[in-house]
Amino acid sequence: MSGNPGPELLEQFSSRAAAMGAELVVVPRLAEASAFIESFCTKQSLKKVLISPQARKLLGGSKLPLLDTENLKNLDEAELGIVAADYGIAETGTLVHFHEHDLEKLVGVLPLTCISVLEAGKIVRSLEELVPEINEQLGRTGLPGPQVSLVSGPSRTADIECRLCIGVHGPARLVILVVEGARE
Amino acid sequence: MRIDSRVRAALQGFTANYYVNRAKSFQECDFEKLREQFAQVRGRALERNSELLDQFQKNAEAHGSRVLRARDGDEANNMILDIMKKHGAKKLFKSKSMVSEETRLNEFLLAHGIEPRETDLGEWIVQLRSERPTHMVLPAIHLTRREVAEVFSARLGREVPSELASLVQVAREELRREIFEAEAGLTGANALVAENGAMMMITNEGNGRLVSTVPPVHIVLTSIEKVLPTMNDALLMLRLLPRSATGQTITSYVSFLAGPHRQSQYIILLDNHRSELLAEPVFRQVLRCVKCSACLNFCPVYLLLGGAGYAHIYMGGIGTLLTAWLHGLRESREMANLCLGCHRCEQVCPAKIKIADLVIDLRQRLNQELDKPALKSIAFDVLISEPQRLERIFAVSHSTALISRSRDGFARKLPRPFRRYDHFRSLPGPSAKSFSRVFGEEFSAAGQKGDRGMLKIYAGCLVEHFYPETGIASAKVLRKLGWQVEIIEAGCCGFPAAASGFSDAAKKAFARLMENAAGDESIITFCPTCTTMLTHLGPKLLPGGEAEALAKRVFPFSRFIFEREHEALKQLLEGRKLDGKTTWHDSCHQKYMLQAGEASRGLLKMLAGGDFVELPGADSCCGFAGTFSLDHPEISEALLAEKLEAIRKSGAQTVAVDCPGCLLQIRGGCHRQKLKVRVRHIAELAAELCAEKD
Repeated sequence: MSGNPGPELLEQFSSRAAAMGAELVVVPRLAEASAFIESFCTKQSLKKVLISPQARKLLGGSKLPLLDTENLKNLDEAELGIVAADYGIAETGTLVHFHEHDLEKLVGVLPLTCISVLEAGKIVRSLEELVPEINEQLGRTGLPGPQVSLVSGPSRTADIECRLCIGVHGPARLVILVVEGARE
Repeated sequence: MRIDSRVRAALQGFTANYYVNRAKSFQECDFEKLREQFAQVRGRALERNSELLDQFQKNAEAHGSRVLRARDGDEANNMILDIMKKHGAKKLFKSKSMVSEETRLNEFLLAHGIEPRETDLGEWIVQLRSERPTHMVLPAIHLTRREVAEVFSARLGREVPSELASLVQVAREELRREIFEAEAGLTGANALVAENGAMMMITNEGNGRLVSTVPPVHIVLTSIEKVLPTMNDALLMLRLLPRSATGQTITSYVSFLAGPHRQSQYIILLDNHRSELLAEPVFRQVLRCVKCSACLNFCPVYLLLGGAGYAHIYMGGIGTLLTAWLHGLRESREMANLCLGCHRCEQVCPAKIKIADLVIDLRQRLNQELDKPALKSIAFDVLISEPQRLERIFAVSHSTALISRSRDGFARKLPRPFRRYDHFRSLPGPSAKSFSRVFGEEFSAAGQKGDRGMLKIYAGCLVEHFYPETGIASAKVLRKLGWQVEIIEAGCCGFPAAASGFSDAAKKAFARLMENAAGDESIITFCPTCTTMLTHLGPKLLPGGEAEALAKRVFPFSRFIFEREHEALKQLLEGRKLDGKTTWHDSCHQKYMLQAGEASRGLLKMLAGGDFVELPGADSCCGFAGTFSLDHPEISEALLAEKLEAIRKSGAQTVAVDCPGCLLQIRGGCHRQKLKVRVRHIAELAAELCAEKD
């Protein structure tokens, strides 16, 4: 994957994601991403951390303590979920996930805080540009229940007095960790 | 009809932000182009519905979903009950599903020993209070945080503070406490994608993701019209739906699910008379609806009554149409009378559904298949069969002083049993001389000198019998611009009958009008409602070349002057302007049917110069709406009150309108409330400035 998204795409993605209520952190390389996550956990004194298989693959030898994802209750007890997004949509500040397993999805939904790692080179202008990839993912029959999910900002509701509240049934904080450099 | 002041205030609070956010969210895309494209895509998909459903089913089954077809609500409910029994499940966790409201699933499950548990915050609150949603997108919009705290406290057996954060926390914790033991979850689907068997779900809270993922059984209850051929079509819908529903460019979560991962997944495709609706060439477009509620958020009547007053299950104008098929014609009758016919909803529908037009067609169907309202039958007969009869009635009224006209043009107050029609607005008394009479006396004798050719004027009933001065003013302006003017005497255009679904009476009136209007001169009108009859409803009732040719000759007064006589009028005015602050009220048919709102505004700005002020909510109905204000005087009164409040706040001394109906309503309201404001038809204001030259 080429590491040249064009700075204007990253800029647009960042401002739209922020408008959706996400927090943006840009780091130059994957190594700094791991370092950021570790210091984030220390600062927020987060002990129970979950990482999705995809994020673990991306971040490599992370020293993070992991929870057993086979038991759903464990998922619920986690304070932080770390996921990796497959793509970013500049137009709406959206993260695109191609899930291999539906528990992956829950890593991003259950904990109150979610860190989503996104490579800057994976940012495209609009969702429509990804139609071939989405169709390929959803058309896979070898894999049970192929899914694509789009996440834009934290979980929200305006159901009481039309006032915006975040963190209803999903995370209240969504931190998008953009890795600028190409994969080494 | 009861107006709930709290629902009204809540909806007003919501829409104030919604209008801004919606407009902002569409800034970067061409709404008209997108919705045209989507209307076509969805329309074509409906034509191929059964083929696409088969394709969807085949692909979904290849992914391991079980697909079931339900003929009606009962069958769908029973399928769900069977699934619950088969898996030994006692409690069903639901994310928001309007289709489950349609089938009254919760009541059915309770009666069969299964507990439904709503998980969407608003739906849960409403469920705990044993109420129904009052808004499709914001089900609990009618409640305050204090009431939510009360119901949560009762549920938990401890005091819950009424801060929003605590309330949201309760919803989160309670669902988390229960969901991991859940045996079954139910969601809806916003779209079904035929080419890959995927379902699109659009949500904000995240409860849909929990309900569809955590329990071992996932039931999807959805309806057959939701199938679209391709992923691209679903993404087009995704561009329109969140922007229309909440003014968001996209919601927090959008999922595409193709088959289950660990769970057993059942997809129930509900028909419930939709196949019959698909076979209706005119009404089929109702199924293009994506349930975004934009039409409701712009509906003046819905904003007053909310979902409790203007709904069977589905709400507002679109709900009326859905109800007629899904729940039966009879259930839709009362709702069908609640549409003002302002057509404001049609401007914002992302599927370009002609909601108000179709409600008129539905009224016709109701009159054919159920009994006709007797009073209206007689009234239209009198009004339409013989135009002279109305004049005779007024003449008799005059001579016996039954309806007198004071010097300021108003009738005396109605007798007590009829006070609900005029206590909030003074009604005009009929003019001693009709417009045709005055026109004959003023102009015919003088002869015509205009060198620009001949124009015909069609006045309509209100100008003919109540406001001849409006007609005379228009004729004066046109003559000063060098035109010769004649009038078309044809009585009622037929609009009130057409809009009430009395198509025979309407056809009779329109045919007479066509006959009397024969010729090739342009026809100038000053009532947008009559104009709508001439250009839209009439040609629909009596299709053919004659009606089309007539429609092409018709110009509303302000459009004719502003677009064709701009320079000539400028010369005539010689820089004269109206005195004092002037504001503008949009007549619904002028703006939404004739698309001539900008011309009207442009003309007024020529006349008012720098002293033109905008009226907040100028494009919302004044509450007249023809026979509506007789059917629903309380709603008419409430809408007028909003209009008068806006006028008062604007500080304008003159309010200009384009329609004799709005003139009747707003002038009558100002008179009753003793507001010192001049309310005039724009033609009178133009004539005033032109006359100064003499």
